[in-house]
Amino acid sequence: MIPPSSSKFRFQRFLDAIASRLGIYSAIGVLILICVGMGTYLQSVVIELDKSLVEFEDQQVRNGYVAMSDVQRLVLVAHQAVNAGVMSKPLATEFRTAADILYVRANHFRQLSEGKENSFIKNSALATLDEIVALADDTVSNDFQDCDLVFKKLISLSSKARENLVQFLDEMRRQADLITEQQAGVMRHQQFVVLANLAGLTLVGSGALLLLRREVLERRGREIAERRSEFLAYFDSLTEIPNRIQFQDKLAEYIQSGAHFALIFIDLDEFKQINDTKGHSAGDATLKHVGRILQDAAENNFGFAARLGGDEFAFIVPTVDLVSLENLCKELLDKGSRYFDYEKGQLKLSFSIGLATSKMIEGSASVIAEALSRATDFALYVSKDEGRNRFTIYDETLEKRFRMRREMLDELPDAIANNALEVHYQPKVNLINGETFGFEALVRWRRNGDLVGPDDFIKLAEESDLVLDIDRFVLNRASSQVSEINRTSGSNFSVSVNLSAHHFASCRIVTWIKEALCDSDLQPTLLTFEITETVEMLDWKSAGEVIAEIRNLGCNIAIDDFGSGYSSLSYLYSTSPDELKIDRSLIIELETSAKARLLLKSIFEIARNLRMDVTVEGIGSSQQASILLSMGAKQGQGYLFGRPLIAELAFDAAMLGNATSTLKLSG
Amino acid sequence: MNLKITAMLFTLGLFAGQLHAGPIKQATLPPIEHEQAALTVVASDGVETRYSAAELEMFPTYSLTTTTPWRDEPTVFEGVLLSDILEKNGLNGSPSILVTAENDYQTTMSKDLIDSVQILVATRVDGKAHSRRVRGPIQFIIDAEAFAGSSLATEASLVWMAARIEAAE
Repeated sequence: MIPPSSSKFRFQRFLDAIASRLGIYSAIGVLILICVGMGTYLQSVVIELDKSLVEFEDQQVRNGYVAMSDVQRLVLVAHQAVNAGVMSKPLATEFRTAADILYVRANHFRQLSEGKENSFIKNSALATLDEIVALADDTVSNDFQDCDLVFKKLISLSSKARENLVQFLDEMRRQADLITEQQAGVMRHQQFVVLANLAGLTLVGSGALLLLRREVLERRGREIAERRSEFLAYFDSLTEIPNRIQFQDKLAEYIQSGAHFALIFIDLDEFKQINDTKGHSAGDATLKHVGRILQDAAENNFGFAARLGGDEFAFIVPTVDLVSLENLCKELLDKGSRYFDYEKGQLKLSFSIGLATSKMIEGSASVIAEALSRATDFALYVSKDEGRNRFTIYDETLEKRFRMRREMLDELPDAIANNALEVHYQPKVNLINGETFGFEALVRWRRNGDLVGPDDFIKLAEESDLVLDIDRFVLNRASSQVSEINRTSGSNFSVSVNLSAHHFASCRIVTWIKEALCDSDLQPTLLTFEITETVEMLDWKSAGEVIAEIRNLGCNIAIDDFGSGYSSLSYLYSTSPDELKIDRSLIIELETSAKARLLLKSIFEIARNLRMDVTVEGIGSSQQASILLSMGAKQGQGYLFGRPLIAELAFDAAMLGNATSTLKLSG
Repeated sequence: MNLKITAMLFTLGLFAGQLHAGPIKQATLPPIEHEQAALTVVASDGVETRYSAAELEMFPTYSLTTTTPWRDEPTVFEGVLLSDILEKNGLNGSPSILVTAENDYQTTMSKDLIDSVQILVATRVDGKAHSRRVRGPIQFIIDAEAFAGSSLATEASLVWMAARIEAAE
């Protein structure tokens, strides 16, 4: 943008002023001046020429020649009479006629000269003609007496007349030359004036045209800019669908009308990734593609689509019929999931959709707008939270549950930082002698006076990587406490710590384990990490490297919840764990189902062959313990042996139990 | 009496097949002695007819009061219509005619001019025989107003001392 003080800007302002106001008046003024100047000059030229032409008249020249002829006619008749020796009647008639003709000629000549400045020569010529006519008239009146004398006088006078007329004609010729010269000069001046005027007119015309063009272009530019700014005020420039402002107006309009409608928010899943990996052109193409999809859907459903900003879109549909709305959402998801072309290839995307209807919201018009947007936004959030590429219809109960979960997640970082987490220990028992040989460290959260189990917050923590901090906390606390009890009581308890699959994305956990071992002075062989096979663990290469590092430290690896979820034999083969922890779901039907017993027996067989320890979880009764023992199980864990307790209680109970078992054995 | 003459002239005009409107009026001319002069007309078939002033006045005669470039005061001219002479001699269809004067002056008059303006071949001026000394004895006269209004009539059309009429080549 040009700063207002710059010379270029001032020049443009000057041109604008010329083009708009001064230009019109100036151009008209210059044109008038040129026309007046040209007209005045031409008028003066015409006057000058007229003046010259008054003095010189073509008829006068002709009259001079004819006068000479008329004199000659009279002389000729006289000459014939002299030759004939007599003035015959026909000759007399001819003589009179010739005299009359000359009389009229002289008279006419004189009339032509009336009002003009006659030269001496012309007057002399006229006087001579008059003399000849007078002589002829005398001769006629004397009845042609003494023709010879008359003839001589006539010859003399005609000679004089000829001489005068020739001089007159010479004078006329000089005047003609002068006029011709004047005309040539005038023509030259006229040529110059015409050329100068043409140049001036061309200059003024060209300037006027240029300024007009500038004005037209600027006006057009202004109109385009105005239209553009008007468009941008209510439309999104990229997708060319309505923008947030128009959406808000339209939403208010719908609410004001009192008719029920549905509001849909749509977010593009992983849009940032498209921008980052494919470039902004791909991102723009994606947004345009979505804009087209929504615009088409809006037209087909008599609705209204808008881009709210970024990858957020909104859709208003004049219906609250949930079946129709579900179909619409499915259609949008389907269209969004199709490949579309962009300049560098093809792209595919997915939507997260949130939907709420005005019927679900109660309140005044001003409240509805905000509440409906919030509800729709919540539904959209749920869709995203539940894995994206789906739609969610707003539900009040769902929202309450979700809010609680959300609050918990928000509080979790502070809970970790403020030691609101506790580690509880559940004993792992030797089924043969009943002694506790170790513990599984389990995290608890003391929240608002209540103890919250891991099932309620670990999954949340995994979504935000807070689980890393939690696992580290448990690792440090458990290492420290178990090491401490071993040192003080001479025991040799082992401890199992759960390890989230999130740790296998990097080797940072290895460093943390080293630090924990170092800080607690716990023997690495007493530390076991329980891992659960999950979808994230499918990248065996990365997970295998981390597991190998942990084992290199001397620690053990246990497969937790074996027999449920994703556990597989190939998993066993790849991980080569030291211990298998059989999921409690396999124990439930142990006493009644031969099939369950057969399955457990097979697992024990596999573990034995692979030289792995087996710990059976969820043992709740002595009968279950007896059956398992008979099947070859050596280690167990469950409420039969003890619930998870805080360190002091758990350790005391274990040592007391062990002492009792020892006494029994020695006794 | 005047009423009777007017009615008679009107009747004659109807029978003659033409009634001349404007300043040229039909007039009956009394006998008069003319200056010696003649107008020779070469008919379309090449036959030459020589009309003396008196013979010309055998055609329907007309009177015209007008000025001329050489007469500042209105003058009464009397004579016959050029169109009548041309018609009589079969020259009314000629694209143009050539008129020659006694002083050898020549001019060409187009049919358009002759059809658009009435031209009087004057043989009398102010009731007297026309004379050479005043551009007679046979002179072509056009009403001044018609002359000014015509784009075809020029001073060259006002032939004086007219002597010969023939079709222009």
